[in-house]
Amino acid sequence: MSILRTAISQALLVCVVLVLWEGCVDLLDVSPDKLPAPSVILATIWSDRSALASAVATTLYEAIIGLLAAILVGVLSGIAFFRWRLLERMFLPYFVGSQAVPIIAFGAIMIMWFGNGIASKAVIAFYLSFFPIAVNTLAGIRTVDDGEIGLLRSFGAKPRKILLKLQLPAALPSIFTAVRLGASLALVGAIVGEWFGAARGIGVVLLTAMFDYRIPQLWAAIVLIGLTGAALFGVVASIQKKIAWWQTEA
Amino acid sequence: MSADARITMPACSIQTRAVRLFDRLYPPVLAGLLLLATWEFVIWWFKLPNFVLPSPAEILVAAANDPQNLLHDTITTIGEALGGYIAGSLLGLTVAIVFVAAPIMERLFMPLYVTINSVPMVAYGPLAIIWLGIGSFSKIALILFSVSYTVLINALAGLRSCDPAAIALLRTFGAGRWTILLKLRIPAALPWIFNGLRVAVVHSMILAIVLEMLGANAGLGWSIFKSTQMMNFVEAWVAVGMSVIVSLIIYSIVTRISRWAVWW
Repeated sequence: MSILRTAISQALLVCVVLVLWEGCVDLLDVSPDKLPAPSVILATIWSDRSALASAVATTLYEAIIGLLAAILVGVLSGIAFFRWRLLERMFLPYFVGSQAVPIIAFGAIMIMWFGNGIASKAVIAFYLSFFPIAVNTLAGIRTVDDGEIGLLRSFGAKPRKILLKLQLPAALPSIFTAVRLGASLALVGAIVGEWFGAARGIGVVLLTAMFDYRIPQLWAAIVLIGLTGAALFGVVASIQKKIAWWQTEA
Repeated sequence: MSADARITMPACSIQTRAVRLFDRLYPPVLAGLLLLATWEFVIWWFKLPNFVLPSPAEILVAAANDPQNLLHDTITTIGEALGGYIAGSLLGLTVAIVFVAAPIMERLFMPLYVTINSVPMVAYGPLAIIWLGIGSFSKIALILFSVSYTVLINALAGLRSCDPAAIALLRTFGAGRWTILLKLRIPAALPWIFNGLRVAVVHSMILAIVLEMLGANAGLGWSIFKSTQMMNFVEAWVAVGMSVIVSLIIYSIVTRISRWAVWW
């Protein structure tokens, strides 16, 4: 109940700020080239709706392809790390180290390798979200109690069965934590990837609006990117609720 | 086994430590060497031209060829990242303390902070450049904002983390609100704060580089952008490699400091 109340009061607060913003722009006669009023931004979104929708769809497509590939390969490499200790000791330090490095800079090279199309952005989205998913899969598998493994083994369960029935389900919350992080990383990867070179996408809208000095369009793109990120996050969270329903933590 | 060795032969402890260090280090080093060897081999075997994949040696030579420019770009990027990082950390800490001291401020301003930060920071890049120009200032401002949020979230969680019983105990001894803040809450929050500070290092490097790609006069991101536009691919590799090295150095310094400050 109190969560609902804070949510309502926060929404109210944001509304108040929007009204104040609108009022100030109106009263002080700020030019839309400096700071467009919320109503101008909304009007821009509405009048450009078809172009903006297809731009968002392109970027979302790139991010989702990259994220799905990252989940698949990330979970598999987490399992491989768990199975082969030497593999973990050889490569895990690099996986962890990649988190301390702006690997997004490699995006420029991905554009050279995979061209200007959708593939290069999906690759960037993939490798940005891949590392945390692999690391968290391994960490999640490791949390399983030895006693439970021993119990299953005493019933004659093979390692493969233990992995599928016990260790992977136990790792799900940890994997989902990484996937939620990965969802926003994949979106950022797709947008920045479009800056390196692309013909379509919301990143392109952002870039051309900057070069042509169309400030309302710029704001419209920012708002849409925020909404897209929230939607992607919401989808992952609701899938998590369905698959890992026993985990109460949101 | 190594534990046994330590108990039975205390004189050899330095040696065992070296053995253990070697034990921990050889797999990643082996992997690194394997990677480098594969890299060189692939180029040699497929006869790849250097615009597809330059060899590590070529990249090093290119870096050594023009040290002046590389140094200038590196210093620019480090300056932006560190400037925004330090100012942002201070801002985040100050805001966190204000929020804890005056909860009404938190209820008023936190939702705004959260709303603004629900959009990926890089999306504000073009706006920062339009408002503040293509110089270093736009990068520092955006990094400042992003870092302050990361530090604020972590510091708030940390300041709230301390045991209410401990607060009550200090209060019975007559400690005021500020004493409790200084002696109890801030020390309790330190591990959290440093966690935020570590994450923020990477964010500030990423933002500095990505924003330089949008528009700049100098910097590693600018160099990456420029060299890909001019099809000078070895140069792009030099800048990417340099940004990796710089981040690793800053990250390890912050980790060192956090280990020193949070010694418990």
